[in-house]
Amino acid sequence: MNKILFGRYIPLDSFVHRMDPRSKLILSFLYVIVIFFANNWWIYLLMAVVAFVSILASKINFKLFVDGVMPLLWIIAFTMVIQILFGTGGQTYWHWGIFSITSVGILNAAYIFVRFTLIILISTLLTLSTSPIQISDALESLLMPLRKIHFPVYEVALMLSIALRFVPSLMDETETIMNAQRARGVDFGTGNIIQRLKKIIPILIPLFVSAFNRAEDLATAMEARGYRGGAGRTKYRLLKWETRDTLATLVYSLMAIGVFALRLL
Amino acid sequence: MNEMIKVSHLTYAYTQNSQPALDDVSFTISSGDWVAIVGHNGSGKSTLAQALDGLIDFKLGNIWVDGTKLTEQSVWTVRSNIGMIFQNPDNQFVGATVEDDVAFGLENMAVPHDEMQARVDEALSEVHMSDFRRKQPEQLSGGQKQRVALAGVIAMQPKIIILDEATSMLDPVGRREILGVIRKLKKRLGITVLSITHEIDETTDADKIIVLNDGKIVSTGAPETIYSHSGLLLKLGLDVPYSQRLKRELTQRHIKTPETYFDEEGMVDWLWQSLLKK
Repeated sequence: MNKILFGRYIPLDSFVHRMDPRSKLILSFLYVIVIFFANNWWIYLLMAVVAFVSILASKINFKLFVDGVMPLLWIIAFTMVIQILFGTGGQTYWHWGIFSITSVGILNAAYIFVRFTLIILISTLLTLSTSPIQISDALESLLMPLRKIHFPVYEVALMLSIALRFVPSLMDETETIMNAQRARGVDFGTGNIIQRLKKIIPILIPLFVSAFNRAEDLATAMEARGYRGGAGRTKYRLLKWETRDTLATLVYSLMAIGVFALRLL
Repeated sequence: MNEMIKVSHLTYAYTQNSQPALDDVSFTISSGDWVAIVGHNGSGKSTLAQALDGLIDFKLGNIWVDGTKLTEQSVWTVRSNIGMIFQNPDNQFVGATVEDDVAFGLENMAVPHDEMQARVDEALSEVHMSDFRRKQPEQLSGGQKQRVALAGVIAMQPKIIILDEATSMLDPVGRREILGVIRKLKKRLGITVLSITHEIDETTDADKIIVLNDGKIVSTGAPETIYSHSGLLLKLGLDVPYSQRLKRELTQRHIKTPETYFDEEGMVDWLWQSLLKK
C-alpha cells in the first residue's frame, strides 16, 4: 500500500539521476509550458523525441512509465470525448443538437492525447528519477528569493520533508488501526456509500490522536537536538549545478526555440 | 571528580495535576558516572530528564549542567552539552534518510559542511550503521532506528547522554546493542550517562542508582546496596534483578545466601562453589 504514492523513486545511477534536482524541476516545468504552444505534428514529434531521449538517459525501465500513464487513461479519454463531441470547425461528419463531430474536433482530440501523454511521461520521469527529499531541497533553493518578502522558506521546506518522511509511517498506522477495527468485527468492504463513510470515522479518530502524539514527540526531540528555527542552520545536502545540468538546459532550450520556429509553419 | 549535573530542590507540577511530578528533588552526578534513575510509570523520572534538558519550564529549584546554571538564556548552551535519546524510535527520526537524520543536530549547530560530513561518517561507524546511510526510516528496525538516534547524539559530541527509556520499545538484541555502544563510549570518552528506566535489569551497568517514587527520591546508592533492599523495590512496583530474585527464592527454601550483591555470573560461581563445599 505505501509503495503507491511516494515509493516511486527508482534509485539508479544515470545521467538524469545525477542531475541537480533544481534543473530537473525547472526543465520539467519548461517542457510542460512549451507543449501548450504546440500547434502541429512536427512540434509534437520534436517534443516526443526529446521526452524519449530523456527517458533513455534515465535508464529506467519503460514499463514503469506505461504504468504511470495507465491510471490517467480515463481522464485523457474523457477529455478526448468532450473535445470530439463539442469541437467545431472543419468538415462536419455528424451533427445532433449541440453535439457534432468535426475534423478539427478529432484533430484536437488527437493533439490532446499526445500532449497529455507527453506531460505525464515527463513528470513521471521527474518523480522516478528524483527522491521526494531532493524535490523538497530543490523547492527550498528555488523559493529562496521569496525570503525577501518574509516567506518562511526554510520552515516550509522542513515541513515538507517531515511530512514526506511521515507518510509511510502514517500509512502503516492506518493499516494497523484498520486491522484492529476488523478484529472487532468492522467490515470495511460492504454497505452503501454513507455506511462506508461512517466506518471511516473509527479509523480517523485514532489516527489523528496518534498523529498529534507523534508531532509532540517529534517537536520535543527536535528541540532537544538544538533546532531553533530555520535561519542560521547549515545544510548537510548541498545542491551542485554541474556540466550535465547546463547540457540538459541547452537541449531543452533548443527544443523550446525549435517549437517556436515550427509554430510559424 | 567534578560535578557534571547538580540538581537542587527541583519542584515541578503539571498544570492539570495538583500533585507535583517532581517534589524537592536534589542530587549530584559526577563527571564520567553512569547513573540510573528508576521508578514506575508516573514517578516523575521522564519529567526529570526533560527538566535537565530545559524542555520543561520549572519555577522552583535550580539545575547546573557542567557548571552552567540552566536559565532561559543558557538553555541552548546546556542543550548542546546533552544528547537525549527518547523512547519511541519512530518519533525522533527527523531526517528523510539515516545520514540526514544524524546530520540534523549538526545542521542546527551550524557546523560547516565538510566537518559535518566527517562527523556523520564517524558517528555512523561508531554505531555500525555505515552501510545503512542512505536507507529511509521505514526500511529500518526499531533497534536500528535507535542506533541512528544514538549516532545523531554522538555526532554532536555531548558531555552527557540521557537515555529516556530509550530501550523500552526494543527487543532484547536491540537493547543489548544500544547499551553496548554506550558502555564503550563511556569508557573511551568519559561521557556521563544518565539512564532513565523501569527495567531494573538495565541498571546493572550503573555506578549509582536513584530510585524515584511520586516525584521524590526514596533511595540513592550503588546498585549492590539498592538491590539488597528488594523489599523496597517490590513495594514501589519495580522488579529486582534476576540474581536477586534467585537469592530470595533460595532463602525461602532455607538455603543461606551471601549478603553482598552478585550479578548473574557471580551467582553462578557462588552456586558452583557452594555445591563443591557440600
